[in-house]
Amino acid sequence: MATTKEQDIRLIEKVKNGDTQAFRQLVDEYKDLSLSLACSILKDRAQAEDAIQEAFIKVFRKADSFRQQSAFSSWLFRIVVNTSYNQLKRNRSNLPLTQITSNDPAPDEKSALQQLREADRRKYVIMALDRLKPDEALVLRLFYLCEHSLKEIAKITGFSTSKIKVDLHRGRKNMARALKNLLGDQAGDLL
Amino acid sequence: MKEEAIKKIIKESTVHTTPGFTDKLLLRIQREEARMGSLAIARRHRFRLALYGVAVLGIFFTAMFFLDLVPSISLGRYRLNLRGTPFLILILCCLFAGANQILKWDYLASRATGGGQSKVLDKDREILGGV
Repeated sequence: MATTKEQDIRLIEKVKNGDTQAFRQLVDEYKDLSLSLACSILKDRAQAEDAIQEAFIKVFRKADSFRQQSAFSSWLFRIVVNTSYNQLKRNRSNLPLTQITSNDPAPDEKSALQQLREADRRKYVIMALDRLKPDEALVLRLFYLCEHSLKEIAKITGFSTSKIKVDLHRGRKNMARALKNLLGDQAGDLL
Repeated sequence: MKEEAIKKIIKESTVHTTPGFTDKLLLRIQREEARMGSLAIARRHRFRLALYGVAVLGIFFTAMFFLDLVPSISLGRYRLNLRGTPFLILILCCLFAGANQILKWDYLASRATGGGQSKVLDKDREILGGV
């Protein structure tokens, strides 16, 4: 169940007292979004998972330093982004995602063909994002996936608002181009 | 690309973690806390030994000054005439302050490690299969 901002604050207050059940709830809530952001930067799933593990460990250890001046998600994503960029600097590599594992949700009432189509679509969307520059992919995900405002994205990334706008604009264009390259005529279904 | 289209597409770009990610994370935190706890104890032990050594030397020299066994000391060309009482008081104050600091560090350290337990609660040890 998605947590509200107030719930996040209650949970992080419990984490400050060493409550690992509360920490587990926070991790389960934000792990996928965090991994998506880390993948935007690192383009490698295994490294991205390592990076978000480091980030969550920092969150657990430095829970006391969360001052509620921003939303918990903003604070967490700032740590994830900084950890990922530090990892990128260490690696100096920009490998594409080679492993697209299917972590789809449990089957529901949709037909098998429909589920396959959705799984394929997700795969190509992730591949297309992978072809973007780290900054562009990160900003697109923060804006559309995490639904943060430009101001919040600026706080999380340290980018200026003008750079964020430019990256959003370029990211959208490059995303469309990447999808057309990957899917050809079928890109029209998505676009 | 239309705004709604890109929003819909990006919403599908969530990358999911591998199964058991959270359990592995908590296990790692538990292990690191246990390791840090034992390192901190070892470091504290060595530091405490050094401080005790300094305290013993301090008491020895204090006794020497008090008993007027060493009324003055030479520092190169200069001779320093020591008056026992002020110097004795100074040394005693330093010793008491040092002892107080050692006790304070011990208390804070035992609080930080939960009095010997790690920050990960015992019930989580059961869930994670213990270490």
